[in-house]
Order: sequence, then structure tokens, then C-alpha cells
Amino acid sequence: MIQIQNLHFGYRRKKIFTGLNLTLEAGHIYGLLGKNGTGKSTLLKNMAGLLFPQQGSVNVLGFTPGKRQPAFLQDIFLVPEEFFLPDVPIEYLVKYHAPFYPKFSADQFNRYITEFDIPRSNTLQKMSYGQKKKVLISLGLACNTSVLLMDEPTNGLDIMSKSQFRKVIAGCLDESKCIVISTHQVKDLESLIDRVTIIDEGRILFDQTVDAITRKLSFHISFDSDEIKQALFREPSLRGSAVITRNMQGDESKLDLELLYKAIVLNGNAIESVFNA
Amino acid sequence: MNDVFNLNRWLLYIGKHWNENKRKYGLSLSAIGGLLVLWFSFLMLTNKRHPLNEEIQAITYYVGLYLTGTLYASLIFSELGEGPKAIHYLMMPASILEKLLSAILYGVVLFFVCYTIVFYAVDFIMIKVANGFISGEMERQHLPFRPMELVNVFVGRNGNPVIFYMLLMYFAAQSVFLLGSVYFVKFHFIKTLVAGLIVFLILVFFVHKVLDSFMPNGGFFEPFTVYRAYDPVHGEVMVQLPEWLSSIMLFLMKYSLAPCLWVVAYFRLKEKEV
Repeated sequence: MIQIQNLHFGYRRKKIFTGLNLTLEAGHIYGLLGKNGTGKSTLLKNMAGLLFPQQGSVNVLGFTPGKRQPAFLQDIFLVPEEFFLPDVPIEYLVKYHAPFYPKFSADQFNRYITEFDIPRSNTLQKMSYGQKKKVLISLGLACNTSVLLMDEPTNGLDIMSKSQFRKVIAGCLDESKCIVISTHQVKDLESLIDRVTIIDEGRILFDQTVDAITRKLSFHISFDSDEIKQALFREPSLRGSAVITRNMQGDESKLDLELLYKAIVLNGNAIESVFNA
Repeated sequence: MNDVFNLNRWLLYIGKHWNENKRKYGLSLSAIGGLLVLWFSFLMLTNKRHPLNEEIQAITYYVGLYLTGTLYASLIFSELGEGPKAIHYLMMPASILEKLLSAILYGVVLFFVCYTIVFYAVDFIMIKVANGFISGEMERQHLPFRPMELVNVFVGRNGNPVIFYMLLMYFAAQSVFLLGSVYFVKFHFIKTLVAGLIVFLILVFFVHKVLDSFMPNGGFFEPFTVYRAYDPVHGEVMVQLPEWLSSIMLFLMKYSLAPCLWVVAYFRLKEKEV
């Protein structure tokens, strides 16, 4: 669905990607994790055709995104971190955007708006940032595009909204869709994503399915000093130490995305060795 | 579905644009109307006899058209300079051609029509008001009164073609500012004005300094088509382009500038990144 090959991209003074390769398939929710300024938004913009690769190729749904053909644009939706919505009532937003997206569902949109608890009477400019973001997320989901890109979607959402967001996203995925969520707030996505892709210094540091991670790694709190010493990654906590160890039992453990992220960034080789074995 | 142009999609896009901008357009036209009322009122206060004669009306129309038209054109693609708006604009599922044609429809065609309607609406009312005031004043002073009439801004006196060229120049100037709004990220109007002046000065320099050194001693007798050369042996010699070539050149000079700039804007829009 999305193939990125040998992507080179940089801004005037800073190289971001030097030969990035990545393949994303339909039917998954990808979590694109990384520190600020590592190129998450740049990667999404390359996928959306808002930036053009300086070298290499990006192929999304069989299109070259940079050509911005309507057939491509009507099957992809981007929820940017900083977004714009026109100053119109919600019903007008739907009326004038829906016809551009052939798979748009008004029922779905209404359901999301209700779930997000958005007042319908206001025009968009009278809404708070969080409310506007939820309207945009609802619109993006209701368009039912094959590719949905979200850049820091939980920024600006309150605790209840984050939980609603996870529920809504989990309910909308099907075999024909590919959802890519970029974030540095890893806790927000823990129960949502089924593939973790971590970017650092413009390269893919880690790319595994959640199934594979929880089968091969165990995340838990340990008080056993031997286990703590031998752990692939350890972090002292108020009670014992949070550790990542090899999952020897074969039972699926519960993923701690924040701990995994730190482990990959600080001790990536040890974690990688488990998956390469 | 055609990826270059689809009439249904274009109409949808036009409808969307209108819905999102109608309030802004209404306010802008009201502001133009308000400024015209102020200007005509000022004229009526300072000239008690013929404040709105035909010449003043025509000058007001064209000065207002050039100022507001170029200013508006420089804002047509200003949203491309603001990240979130640019993303919203570029991600809308319509082709670049449809987006450009929509901009031309609103910024060039409809702006011109609406400005003219607003001008005439204000002009008509202000002439009635001015005629009413002045005729009363003239009657009191027992002086003859000739009422002021509405000017036809599209027809020059005695068929003078200057008006026609003013209009052609307006559309060319507006297209320059439209292109500037795609090229520059901020301060579109000022930057386009400065860039336009620099290009104009380079052209003047090219014609007068560079081109002159290649051409024989003399000068253009008729612009672009007839060159008068001074030859020491044969005296004055006229070099004339063939009729068909002259016609094509003049036609292109008159009508091609604005469309050419639109084509450049199309390609610039295609390569726009956010």
C-alpha cells in the first residue's frame, strides 16, 4: 500500500532522510514513534505529496504522491498537527467536503461527532482547539480513505478525548485501510497500534509488529537483582525496576510502549538481537 | 475520473470555495463601496460645480480597479504561505488546473464583474445625490445647470483605444500579482511590486542598451513592427515585418501576457511544497 525506497530528503541546512526504506500494508495501524525533529512529520508529508523526495521513490496506492492527482487525494486523508478548518458550521463542512470523498459516510461522521461530544450548533472557529481537532479526526475517519495519516493526533486532546480517540480508531480499521499515526506521546497509542516503527536520525531504528514484540519480549516490574542485571533494558521505578527481558515462556506479555521506545533509543542493539535471532 | 479536469468536480470546488469565502468577499466589496462613497463625498465637498464629471469617474474607476485588483490578486494564493492552510488547500481532492481555474474565476473574472457592479451602483447613487445638491444651488444662484451623467468606463472619448489598452494592462498586471501570490510566502504585494519593477527595469535596460548595440542606427517607427534605420548611403530606411507576422506579434502582445502568467502559476502551483 505504501512503499518507500531509498528516500533521501532534507531541508536547506539539515539532512533528514538518507536512504530510508519502509513498506506499510493495509489492515494495520502503524505507530510512527520518534523524538521531536527526527522526521516523523516530514515522512508523513512525503507520503501525502506535500513534500517531494530529493532522491528515491515514494509510492502510495500505486500513485506518486507528489503528482497530487485527484484520484490519489480522494483516497488519502491527512490530519496534520497544526491544521486549518474553515469558519463554517459543521453541516456545511460535511456538505462541501463529503462529495470529494467517494467513500464518505455521513452516518459514521455523525456517530463520531456524538462520541466525541462535539456541539453541532457552533461554527468551527467558535470551537476550542481540541474540539476542532476532533471534528477533523471525525471527518478524516468518515471519509473512509484507504490511507489515513495522523500527525500527533492526541496533542491538545483532554484525557477523556484521548480515550474516545482510541476507541474510535480501533473501531474503524478494516482490511482495506492503512492508518499511520505519528506521535511522541507513546502512552496514548499503546493499546491501539499493531505495528511499531521507530525513527531516529532519519532512519528506521525499529520496525516490528506488536504481536512479535509481545511474543519475544516481556515487560514487567522486577525485584530480582539477577534478572534486573541480565535484563535487555532496565529502568528504576518507585517499586522495583521496570525491565524488558526475553520472553522465555512464549505467552504474550503486555506491551509497555514507553519502555520499549526508551530501550530502542538507548540500547537498540540488545533489543534488535532478540528479533534477529 | 479525469485527473486533469472534471467539470463536476470543478463545480463542487467552486461551491466549496464560495461557501468558505462568501463572508470575506461580501465584506471586501462593501469596503470597496464604502471607500468609493468616501472619495466621491470628498470630491463633492471640494468641487461645488462638477465634482463627478466623466473624466473623474473614469479615473476613479481605473485607479480603484488597479489598486484593489492587484491587491486582491496578491492574496489569491496567500494561504499557501501558511502551513496549515496550505495543507488544507493542497490536500483537497481537486486537480491543480481546477484549483487554478477557480482562482482565476474568483480573482480575475468575478472580481472584475463585482468591482464594476459596485462602482456603478455607488457612482449612480452619488451622481443622483450630487446632481440634486448642485441643481438646487444653481437654481438659487440663477445659473444654468447641466446635470452630470454616468460615464461608460469601457469606451474612450471619440473612440480612443487607450481605455481598451488600460483594461488589457490591468489584466496583465493582475496576473503578475496572481503569480506573485504563488511565488512568495509572505508580503506578496510588496515583493511582487519590487520584483515586477526589477524585471521592468531589466527589460528597459535590455531594450535600450543591449538591443541597441545589435540594431542599426535608428529606432522603432511603430512599436515592434516597423523599424526606421538611418543609413549613410540610402538615407532613411523603413524595415517592416511582414503583415502576418506583425498581426501575430501584436495579437500576442495584447492578449497573451495574462494567460502566459497563468500557465507559469500552474507549474509553480504544481511544484509547491509545504
